[in-house]
Amino acid sequence: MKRLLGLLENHSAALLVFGLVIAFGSSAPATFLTGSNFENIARQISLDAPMVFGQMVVLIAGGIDISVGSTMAMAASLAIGLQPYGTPVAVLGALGFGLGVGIVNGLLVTKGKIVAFVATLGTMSLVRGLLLTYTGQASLVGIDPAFTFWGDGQIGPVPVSFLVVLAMLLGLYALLGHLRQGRNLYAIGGNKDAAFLGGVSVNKGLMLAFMLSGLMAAVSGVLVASRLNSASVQLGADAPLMSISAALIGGASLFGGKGSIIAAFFGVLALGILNNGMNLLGVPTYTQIAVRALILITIVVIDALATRLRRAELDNARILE
Amino acid sequence: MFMKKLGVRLVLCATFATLAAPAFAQGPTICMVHNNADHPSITAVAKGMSDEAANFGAEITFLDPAFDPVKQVAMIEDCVSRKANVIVVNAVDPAAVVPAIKKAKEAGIFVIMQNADTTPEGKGFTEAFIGSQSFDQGYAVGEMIVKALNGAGKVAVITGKTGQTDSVNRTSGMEAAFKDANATIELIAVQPADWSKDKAMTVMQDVLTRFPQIDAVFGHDDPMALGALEAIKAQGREAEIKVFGVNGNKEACAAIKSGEMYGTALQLSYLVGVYTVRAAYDLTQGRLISKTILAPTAPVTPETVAQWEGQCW
Amino acid sequence: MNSQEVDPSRRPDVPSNKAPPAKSGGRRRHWSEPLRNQTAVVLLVVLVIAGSLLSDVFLTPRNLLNILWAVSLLGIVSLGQTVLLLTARFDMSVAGVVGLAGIVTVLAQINGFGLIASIGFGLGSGVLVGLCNGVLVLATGANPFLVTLAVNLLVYSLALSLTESKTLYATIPEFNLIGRGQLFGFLHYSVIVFLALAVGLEFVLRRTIPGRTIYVAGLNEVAGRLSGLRLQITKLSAFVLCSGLAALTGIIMTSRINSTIASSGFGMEFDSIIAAVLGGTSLFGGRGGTLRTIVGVVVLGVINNLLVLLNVPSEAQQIAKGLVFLAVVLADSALRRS
Repeated sequence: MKRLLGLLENHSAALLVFGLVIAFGSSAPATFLTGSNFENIARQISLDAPMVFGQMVVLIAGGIDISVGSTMAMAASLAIGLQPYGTPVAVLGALGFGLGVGIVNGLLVTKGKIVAFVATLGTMSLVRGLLLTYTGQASLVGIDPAFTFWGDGQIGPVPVSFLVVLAMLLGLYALLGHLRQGRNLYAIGGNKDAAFLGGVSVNKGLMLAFMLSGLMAAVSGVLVASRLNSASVQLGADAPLMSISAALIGGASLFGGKGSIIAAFFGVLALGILNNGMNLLGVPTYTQIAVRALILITIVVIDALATRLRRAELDNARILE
Repeated sequence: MFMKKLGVRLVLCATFATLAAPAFAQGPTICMVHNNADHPSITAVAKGMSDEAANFGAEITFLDPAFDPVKQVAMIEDCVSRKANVIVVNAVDPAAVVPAIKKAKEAGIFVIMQNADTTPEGKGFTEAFIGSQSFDQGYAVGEMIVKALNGAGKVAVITGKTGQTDSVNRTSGMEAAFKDANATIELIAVQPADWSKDKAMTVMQDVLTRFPQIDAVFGHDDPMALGALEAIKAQGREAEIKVFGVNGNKEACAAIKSGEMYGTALQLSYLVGVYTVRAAYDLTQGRLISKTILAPTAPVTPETVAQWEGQCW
Repeated sequence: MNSQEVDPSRRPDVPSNKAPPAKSGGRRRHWSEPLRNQTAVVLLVVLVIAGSLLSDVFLTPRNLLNILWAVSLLGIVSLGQTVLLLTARFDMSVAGVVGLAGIVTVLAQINGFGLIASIGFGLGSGVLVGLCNGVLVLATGANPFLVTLAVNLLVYSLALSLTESKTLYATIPEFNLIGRGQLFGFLHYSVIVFLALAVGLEFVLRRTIPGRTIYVAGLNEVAGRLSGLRLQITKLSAFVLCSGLAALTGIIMTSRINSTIASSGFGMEFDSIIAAVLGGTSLFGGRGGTLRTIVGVVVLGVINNLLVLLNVPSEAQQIAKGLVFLAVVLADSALRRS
């Protein structure tokens, strides 16, 4: 029984996706259960997914990154704004910027000894200001139609952006599951001092986590720019809440040390399906907001109760031993 | 865990069973994608649309992306999946919606832009623009200011949220009006108050502290203009400063009538909603409609307020 | 059990190489030691000096009073947030509560209730939300960030549907005195309420048993899992206080601007935490106080004031705020460690 609980709990995000598909599939089969709608969902979540992956990595390492939205927006603007110098330059510039923000965040946390919440709150404001200055408050329009292939194109029935996301997924899965640097992140998030005493370089690990988060946010930005063939200064306002929610649905803990990339993928998929389904059903705005909130509360509360039950069971088991 | 899966499924099924819209509608199905739900001008538009929809048996779905361009694109695509007859879009960002409305056009769905138009490239996929442009609103206020100040003076501007299209357009519209009239107007301060009446009050306070002489204040919407007015009244400088806004809500019109405010650009939001539904109906009946249906931006000043009062909302 | 990210300043004092042994026994005091927990005050002094040099109207009584008036609303919310932070939790739903409380109050007036009753309803709505937050977080052990964020969405959607996105106006003229009235003609009531609450709460926190229990509740989070009933009730009351003060703020704001807007509190959830943190209250509980939050809030107010007085273009304002914030936090961290 305990093993069953554990198994189900680790796959709660996937189960949520399953449940949502059934709920929407039965309420609106004609519109929801179509190939083109699934294509839409795939394309829509592919824009958010890299950012969520990055957030998951940071959460695993025990931190949090509130600056992802601003980084994403700036990366999108650079990917469009630098196009006169050639599209590859623009994309590299965008990705480089994301990496740079990650480095700054990492330094603030490791060298500046500032708590991640506070550090990334500061960089969020800073980057948003840079964005407004760079764009002069106007939205930028792309000049390279071929660029939209990444965000908007497809290979067969599969959107290209989705394939990009799958590639990221595989890469990060390998990193976190099999490479030493990746596995160290779990140790750092779980218990920083123990990890340090165990020989793990905590600072290097945190730097890696924040750099990945910044880079991933930039990837999201590039995909958005590619899909819209434009970049707006209004992008990314919702990103911190969305990425943290998706990661938490995917099993991350705000205390660190828990989570998986695959579960994060299901988390962002769940949110995407939820939005899509509610739009298809024509649910009014007030209700959409309330439904999202209720589902979030339900998941968080049930998860917390399950953790408590599990801990109580473990305590009981220890007493009986 | 099992309980969680069951619980979530039950919650969802119960919610959606009650919310799924009925499938029978005689009139056109319209999918309206706003830019933001929480502003009285948007509510007025929505009301106009709902009221008029009754006349045609039209069924309207309102979606709100809260100023997020990516969400708006997703909502438009979902409208396409819903096979709505007409999609009405109030663009958060003019360029961002282009790929989505292109898809709508390719799917045979009519697209109408409302109040915030798309780029020239995007316009190739739309049938019409209905509403008033925020640039024109700014221009109208600019003209009012030039007239009120006789072409010269010091003007402070309290803008909406930095980077938002309406904010940017209203300022540029006003500046264009100054240029066209060859006015010698000095913009002494341009500060954001994020569409908040309270913030406008505190920002105006600080502007008043800095400048001993101000001739006019332009607040990008009436709540902010009224907030600025409060700050001005608290310092007793009403006689010196003329206050202008945009929207045309009842409070502002009353203030103009009593002489406290000097002008606002009336947005005929309710009528815009009405015209939109009518145009949607005409499109689905195969009739041609004009490409641009501009709701007049009525300049409401102390002289003209009596004429426009009834339209203030 | 997973450990939290440990606040570096909570680690036991490791003897540092920088302090050479003094001749007469004991550690020699580093020059920055008196400043260690007063970064916010230092920053305030720096800002005031800079402000008076850059602008000749900054130090006028009128301007300083304006700053106080402008921040008093955020200040009251920040006081509630401070108390809750002391128990190692925070509340992201204050934004929605500010909007909701104002709307409930005005709706009560429109439906015929008197001034006191309508304010009672408004405060009551805040108390209810606080109870909700507290029960959800404490009874289930769920994450306060997510729970209060979700509750914020619920409260906001409730506020939107109550007003149908329309603007409502209060029907009792005396109501507007709360937000706009001035004592002796220059000191706004909201400023008096803010300062009085800050002092009063500080007294309760330091000198009364319920107050000291709040600090204990915060320190407990890291130390262990003591869960006596008194401790739980204390934690719950911190949630209720936080929401209640947010409701009070919403009522005063509605009175001040004479209209209701569901989103009027937006931004306050982050700003109140920033103000408390700037003032020196720890995100991890157990350290800080409401008097310090006054300094944090005033710092924010001075920054906003200077940005307008110096007519800093809006694009640059975000950069300025971000830089100042990071500079403060870095300085604070450095001072603590020296």
